[in-house]
Amino acid sequence: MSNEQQIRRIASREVQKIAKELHGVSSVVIATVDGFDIASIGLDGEDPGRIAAMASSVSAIGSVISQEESLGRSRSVTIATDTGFAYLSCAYLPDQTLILNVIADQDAVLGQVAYRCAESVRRLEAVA
Amino acid sequence: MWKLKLAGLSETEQALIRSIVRLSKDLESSWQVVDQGACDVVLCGTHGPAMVMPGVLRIRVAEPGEHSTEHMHDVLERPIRAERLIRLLCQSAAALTQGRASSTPSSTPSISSPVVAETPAPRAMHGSLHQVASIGRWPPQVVLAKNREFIRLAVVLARASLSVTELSRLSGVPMETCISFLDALEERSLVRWGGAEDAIPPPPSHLQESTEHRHFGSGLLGSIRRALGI
Amino acid sequence: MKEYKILFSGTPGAGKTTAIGAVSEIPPVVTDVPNTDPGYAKAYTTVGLDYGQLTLDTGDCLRLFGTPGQARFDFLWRILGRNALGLIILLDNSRPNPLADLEIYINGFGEALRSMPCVIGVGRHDQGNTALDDYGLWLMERNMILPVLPVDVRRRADVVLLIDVLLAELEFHIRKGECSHVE
Repeated sequence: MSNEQQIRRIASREVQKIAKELHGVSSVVIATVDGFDIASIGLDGEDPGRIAAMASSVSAIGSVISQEESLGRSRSVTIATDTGFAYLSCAYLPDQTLILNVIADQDAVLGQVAYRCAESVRRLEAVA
Repeated sequence: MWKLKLAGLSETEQALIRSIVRLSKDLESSWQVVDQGACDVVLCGTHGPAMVMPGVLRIRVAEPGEHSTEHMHDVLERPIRAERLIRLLCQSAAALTQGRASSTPSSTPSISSPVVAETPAPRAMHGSLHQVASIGRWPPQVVLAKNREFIRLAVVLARASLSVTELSRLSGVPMETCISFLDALEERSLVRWGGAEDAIPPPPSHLQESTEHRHFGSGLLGSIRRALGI
Repeated sequence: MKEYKILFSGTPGAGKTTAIGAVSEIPPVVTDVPNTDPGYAKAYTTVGLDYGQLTLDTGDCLRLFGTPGQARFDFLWRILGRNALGLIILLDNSRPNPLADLEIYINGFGEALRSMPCVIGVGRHDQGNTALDDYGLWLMERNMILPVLPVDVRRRADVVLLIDVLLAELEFHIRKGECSHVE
């Protein structure tokens, strides 16, 4: 199995597990840094390609802010809304960056989502 | 300010005309007598130029009875009288302002037809003086040829149907350049002529009038141009 | 201080980032990331926005924003296009079908083009099978007239000309507005 296939396999497994384990999650998308989804689950029928593109833009803007302020690499971005939140976390693999994006409603607990996402990121980053 | 050029006139007549223009309180608009460069009206004697630039009016200074009575309105009869000169200049200013009235290819020079008959009038002049021009597409590169003024004219004409005078006023590009531009378009059948009722609204292009643009003001555009070094 | 903006959009690789860098007084802020799309022969691509600026002598600020070019980022086109003075669409004539590329932006900006001045800059115009005049004809078939100019975004003068054309469009509206006000 190639490295790329292995990454996709892990990504696919992680999105399924996050959606299953966490309450209030409406979609989980893992995207390339330039906005293509490589694994997704849309519980409310959202277009994963669109979420991937938005995650890419938001993450890129987050990275620019951390660079401009010399804060190191951007690890996550949270968009809190009236009825839920979007949580984006970056997985820095040796030769590419992936963005794990979770869209959740008010039933979800932000801390729990952040904790679970960090676990998925570690698994993705562990791919040699 | 309108510019008046004198040609083929004696020094005495020139001095007299200069004095009348300078001192008259009856001229409704501002006039300046120029010796060279572009002008709006040429006042010429017997030995004056047979042709003038397109868009320039010609008034002939003639002996009594020398001119045809049907063109009294663009002839200044000798001896030169201030009230007659002033009336002609006022008529000229009005004609220039109103798009210089109508012109037909066979017409004799007059204030209402600024291109002298002897001049092979540029094609654009035939239709444009009282008609409005419009384009249906962005002009080809062979017409624009990276000419900034032509590009500016195309931008304006893409937004509205306009007479030559309006095109010049709205674009800030000299009338002669507007005529050259329209000629280049007409050569390739890329310009449409319509009646005055077709002027400005409705815009021929897709762009609708946006009131928000009016709020920017020309001061902003000037400051952007300065920042860009234009 | 008032702020104004001009938006650069268009095909990935057409030079939006370079164009902004050519006229910005600050090094442009970019959100480029490695490109994984084989459809565009470029190592990096913009996914967020590009940003440059010019301080005007009035103390106001002109902001230059570049959008990502790919259609999947069209949500950003509309966000960044809001209240822009004008739009510059940059195209790459060496692409397989640059008129199809143009269609993406004409459709993507849609209604906004009805009130926002727009100019099209065509790069690598001496390459490919599409003549510069084909763009004007293509637009004419859709009842649109937009300025189409050749551009080399590495040349500041070319980029300045595109902006100048946008300003000429704005100027026309201002003069026309003053004219109707007077009338």
